[in-house]
Amino acid sequence: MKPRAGFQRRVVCKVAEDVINVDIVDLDNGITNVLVSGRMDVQGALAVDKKFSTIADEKKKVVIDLSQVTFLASLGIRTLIMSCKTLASKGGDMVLLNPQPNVEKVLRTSGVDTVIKIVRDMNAATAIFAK
Amino acid sequence: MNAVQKQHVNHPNTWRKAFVGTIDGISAAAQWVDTIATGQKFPEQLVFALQVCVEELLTNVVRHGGAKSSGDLSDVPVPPLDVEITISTGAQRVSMTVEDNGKPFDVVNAPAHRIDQPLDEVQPGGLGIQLIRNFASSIAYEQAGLGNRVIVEFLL
Repeated sequence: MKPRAGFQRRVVCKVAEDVINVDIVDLDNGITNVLVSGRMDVQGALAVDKKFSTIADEKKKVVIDLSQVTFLASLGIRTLIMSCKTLASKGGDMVLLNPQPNVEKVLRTSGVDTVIKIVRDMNAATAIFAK
Repeated sequence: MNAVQKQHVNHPNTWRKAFVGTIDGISAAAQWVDTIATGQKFPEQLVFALQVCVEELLTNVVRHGGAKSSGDLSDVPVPPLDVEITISTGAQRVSMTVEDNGKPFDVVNAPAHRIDQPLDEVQPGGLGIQLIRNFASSIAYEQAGLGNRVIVEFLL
């Protein structure tokens, strides 16, 4: 990923699995950007579940960049929901950034969009956290 | 002739293969379905819909099909269940039949849930059934074959 203008970034952690990668970057505006790449199917969700749990425990404003996620199953939804609940319980929040059309259909069909906002770009995500 | 084409049974547009009811089995089945769907040049949305349905149907089998399973994926039954998948294509539709020898589970009449409550009250469960019902054109269940038989159909 190319750094966005106005943001300094520090790579905190990178987890590589067979079917899914998670890149975690703390931005200097207090937002943590989590770029997920691959399939959040059963195997993918199980592979990243602990990492998401740690993110939810340690961070406060979290953007989950879904632009590189090609598949999302109900177990992946569970991972997102449980992490968002943890964040919300301590005053934090999560937004979902730029999902692919099929993945967005999964999110809207299951009603995830009613509890976690879906945005198209980082500016929109930043605006939500600023409220 | 590749490995997938060798799975043809009795009809040139029918594929059948057996899998074990494990997490690895789910992934193997999803890959097999994807190979057939892309090989047949199905539309991208149909490929995705097939993926959603095979993933969620087999996840249900693995989580809930075993007599001793608590639903936790770390507590899958031993020995694992048998699953058989059949895909058939016609002029206007594609059908996928999933049979398993697990506990009876009527996916048609099982409760499906869409998240429609405040975040702190959300209990993720039943979302898979909700997804199956939305991504398939039709769904049917009967106790036959290996035990449970679910037939999902998709319009081409």
